[in-house]
Amino acid sequence: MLTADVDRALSKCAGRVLETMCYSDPLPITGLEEGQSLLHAELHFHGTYSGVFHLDITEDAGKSLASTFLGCDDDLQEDQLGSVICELTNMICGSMLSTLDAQADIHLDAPTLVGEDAPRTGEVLSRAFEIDNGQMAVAIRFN
Amino acid sequence: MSYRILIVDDSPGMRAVLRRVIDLSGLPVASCLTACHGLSALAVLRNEPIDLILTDINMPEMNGEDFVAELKKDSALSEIPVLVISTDATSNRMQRMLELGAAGYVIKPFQPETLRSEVERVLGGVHANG
Repeated sequence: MLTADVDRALSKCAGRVLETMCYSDPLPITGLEEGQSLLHAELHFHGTYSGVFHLDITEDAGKSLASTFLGCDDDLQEDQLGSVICELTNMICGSMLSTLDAQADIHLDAPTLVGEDAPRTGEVLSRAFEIDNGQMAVAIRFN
Repeated sequence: MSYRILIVDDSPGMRAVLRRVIDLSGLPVASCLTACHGLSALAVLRNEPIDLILTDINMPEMNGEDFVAELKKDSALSEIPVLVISTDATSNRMQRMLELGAAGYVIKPFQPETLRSEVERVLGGVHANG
């Protein structure tokens, strides 16, 4: 699999999910600014390809996306926020793997929220975006 | 006729989105029940009359593929139409789900209009058959 294809699919699929489900128009940036309060989700995948997918998002941006995703104007509960971040992780990862290889056999584990200090090893391809009220980054590592 | 719909998805956020699209669709819906995996969906189906099932694929306990296979083996449940809602857009998976008997396949992310028209198409078949 070519790095350029993965890179392109990361951008394309993250953009498509945010635009379609959250009416957000992400702008590519070089990376997340340091020192921000972030939420982290990860998802392990298996099948034709195996590895791990990461999503990092600033807390305010996460709340903004989650409110739009759920269509709720009321105060967002913490479990609602976590659920939406996990679902966005699931959608971007699933969409990306399908885009990379439409003939693949894909199995996605349930995405989970993880702590800031969760270990990340190996070579990771990542993309970052400026979105409503903050920033988001997605990254993938193939085993 | 008012329809009874069952949403099967392990993500509470996705269940809420699907329910909202159904609520805003203008379709006559009598009830919209939810289950978080295939096993709990089968338990609901054995106690509640349902006209349409919307199901995810990747779920704990019993995934969508096993769920649809079980459903189609049960003569009391096999005629209920199933619409698959999944991020998995691979041709093998879509073909497998349709061969198992799914009435349609909506790929996430989706526009609300796409889901609504698929629901209408499938329920139209129910209505015509009923």
